[in-house]
Amino acid sequence: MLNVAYKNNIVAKPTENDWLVTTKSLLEKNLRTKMRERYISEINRYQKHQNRPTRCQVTACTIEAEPLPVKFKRLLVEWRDQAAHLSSMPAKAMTLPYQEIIGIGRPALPMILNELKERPVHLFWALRAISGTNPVEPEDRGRIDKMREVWLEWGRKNKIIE
Amino acid sequence: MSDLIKIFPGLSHSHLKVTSPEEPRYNCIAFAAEDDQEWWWPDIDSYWPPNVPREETISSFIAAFVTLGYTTCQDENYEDGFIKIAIFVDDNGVPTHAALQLANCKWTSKCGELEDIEHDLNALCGPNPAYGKIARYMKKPA
Repeated sequence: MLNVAYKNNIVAKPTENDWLVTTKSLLEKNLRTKMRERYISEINRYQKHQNRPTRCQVTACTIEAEPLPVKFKRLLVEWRDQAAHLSSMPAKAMTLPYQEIIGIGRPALPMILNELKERPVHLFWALRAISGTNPVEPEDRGRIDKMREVWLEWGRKNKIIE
Repeated sequence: MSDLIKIFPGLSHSHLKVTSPEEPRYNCIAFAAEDDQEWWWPDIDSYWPPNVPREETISSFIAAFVTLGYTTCQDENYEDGFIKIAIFVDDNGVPTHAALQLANCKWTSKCGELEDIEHDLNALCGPNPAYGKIARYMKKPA
């Protein structure tokens, strides 16, 4: 089922709108007419609301049209909006965008590790959940740079990243 | 700063001073413990003092600060010669945050991965996404 939901208390990010424009263009090229019209109508509805505090969550079959790297970046932005002020890792990890990142499964590993290469980011929980392992020694827990280093080394050793 | 005011509406009409850039390497508990090198939380990915239960309970957080010389106290009122902290909990009694008192009677906090701020203590209270309510005060000699 096509499902576009609006939440009225969060300001939309320009990147999200950019993504919608891209998606719209992809849909225009690739999908069958009936379905395409439904998508485009939903997206247009969202875009009409861009000038008021709104966020669009696109799920189900719409999401299948979203390229994985775009989806990953979108989820990171949404996660930051919802969880950057939280200190509790369990609370951060229980947010919907974080759970969706975990839900991507193994294809998310290179994207997460490349993100870690770029900056310190609290994606260790997702790495553990997806990989089923934890290469971080107990004495290094909480040392973000060291944890980054250890996970990146793990990624190289397992040929997930270069 | 706009992010903070959106999350903590109480900051919009009270004292607020941002005292650092965003930083993901330490959090509020580390900051209250005067450690800017580690992320403190009782979970598998974070630092937690040895021999303190890794549980998201007020008693575990109190025990963590006891290892630093803190004892529980009655209120937030400034006491000469003491450092105070306040521990926040959500509606279920799960700890969410800790703030540290400054010598000027104001309070300072690290807001997750966001900035360090100077603020009025109650400005961070409120329903989700704010930090809930204050459950306990602790103090130690300065």
